[in-house]
Amino acid sequence: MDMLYKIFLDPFVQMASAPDLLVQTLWEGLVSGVLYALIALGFVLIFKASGVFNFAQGIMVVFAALTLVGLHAMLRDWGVSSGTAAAYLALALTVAVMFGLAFTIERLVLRPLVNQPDIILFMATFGMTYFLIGLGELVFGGEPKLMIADDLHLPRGAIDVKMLGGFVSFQKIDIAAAAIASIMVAGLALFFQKTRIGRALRAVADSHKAALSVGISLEQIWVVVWFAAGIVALVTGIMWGARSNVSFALEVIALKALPVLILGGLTSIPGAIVGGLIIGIGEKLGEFYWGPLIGSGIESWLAYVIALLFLLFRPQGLFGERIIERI
Amino acid sequence: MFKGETRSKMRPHEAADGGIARTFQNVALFRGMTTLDNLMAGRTLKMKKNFFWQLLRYGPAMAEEVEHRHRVEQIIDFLKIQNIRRTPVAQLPYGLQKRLELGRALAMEPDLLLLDEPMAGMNLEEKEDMSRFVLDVNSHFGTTIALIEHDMGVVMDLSDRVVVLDHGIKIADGTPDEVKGNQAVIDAYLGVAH
Repeated sequence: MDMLYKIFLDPFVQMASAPDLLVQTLWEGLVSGVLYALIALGFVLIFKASGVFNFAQGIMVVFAALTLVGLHAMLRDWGVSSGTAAAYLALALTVAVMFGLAFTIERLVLRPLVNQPDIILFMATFGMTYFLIGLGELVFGGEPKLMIADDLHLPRGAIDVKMLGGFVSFQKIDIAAAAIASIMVAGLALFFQKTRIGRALRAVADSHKAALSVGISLEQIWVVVWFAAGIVALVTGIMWGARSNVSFALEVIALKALPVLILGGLTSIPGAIVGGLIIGIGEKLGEFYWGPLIGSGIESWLAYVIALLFLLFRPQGLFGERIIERI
Repeated sequence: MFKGETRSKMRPHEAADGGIARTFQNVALFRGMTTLDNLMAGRTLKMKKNFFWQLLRYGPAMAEEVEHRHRVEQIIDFLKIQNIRRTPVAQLPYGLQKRLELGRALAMEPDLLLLDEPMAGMNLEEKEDMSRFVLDVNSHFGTTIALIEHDMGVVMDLSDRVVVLDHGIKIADGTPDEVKGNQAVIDAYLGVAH
């Protein structure tokens, strides 16, 4: 009885007795959910437009952040005195690098493998992962780096709000992350639904040969979509980097995108968002209220258990279009 | 030879840009998209405005979108598919999918339209509908149409000129009446006593 009480009643009693703590936990869940959603978004973009599950998305996040920080350091060395100028110059250069990366991937990986089974393309993205790890270490070094949050003028500090008989603290960087993520998602949704290129992207995802017959160039579309995924990776890298630091350990976080994708469906942008939020909030609540029962550490595996439950009952995800058969 | 140029090899989007549209023997539509979106995809090459304006749905891009939508509506009227405008095409019956594929090719406003077995797998009524559309396309838009088909009745009724291949070798070339009387064609289709 005591055990049942602890599992099914006590956590809710705690929630009710300290609502400010509950709000704080929910907020933290929301924020990490947004960041998971950002990573998942990169996967969804590429899967939607080319049917490729891009294993390298996680490392693209690290590579983008690393390039930004590394270029910033180089620019400072070469005599750009203002940190801000160097930061924004580095940002522009990183965007150019991500474009170059998309172009190279299309030319060297996707084009030779056109018309191959999806599993081949999937394996090729494995190869890209290790290549990018090697390249990143070679050029910028493997040690963890600090994100240049101050030079980019990302907000710092926290807003403490008095509510519900206590204080709830909102980190400004988290608020910024949530805002930027929302803008990006809205922009991408519009892009996919309303523009000529967006329509072409969906067309390519449905049928390569039909797309070719109406004059859509596959090469161009793939560069566009990998570039878009690269930009999403860069934004994700900046936001994650500002919270911890920039290192290859970040790649592990990308694995958290898998449960998010299972939950939301591989082909749905709203799915990535909702999935991210459910995983993020579920994790934090579980850790805070149920974690102590088994000596904590729930956070690292709860996401996968949630995903497993979804797989049992709704294998195509909440918003998925069809059963996923492509991985 | 097309428009005074010999083209032995060209990239698909160059062909599309040059005014050649096609349909497929096995339907190749964008299955997840609606009828409207499929037809609008056919106009991809005609839309030139900057995509930032398209994103904002404002100004010249909006005017362009409206104009293309208008052209697409004309095709919808022409093919009498008004009632399935917003239906995802994967849900449509086979005959309508074939018709829509013709519509998508028409949306490209081609000079030359290639139809790969447009009547494949159709029943008599659907064949009659499709034949009428093919004739109308030719008379309304003045499009040159090359079609591959092995329903002899359809071929003879629709064509101005017929080319017959037997195992990849041309055995006849002429008006339907000339081809009908050709002994090699009769042999190939009905078989010869050995």
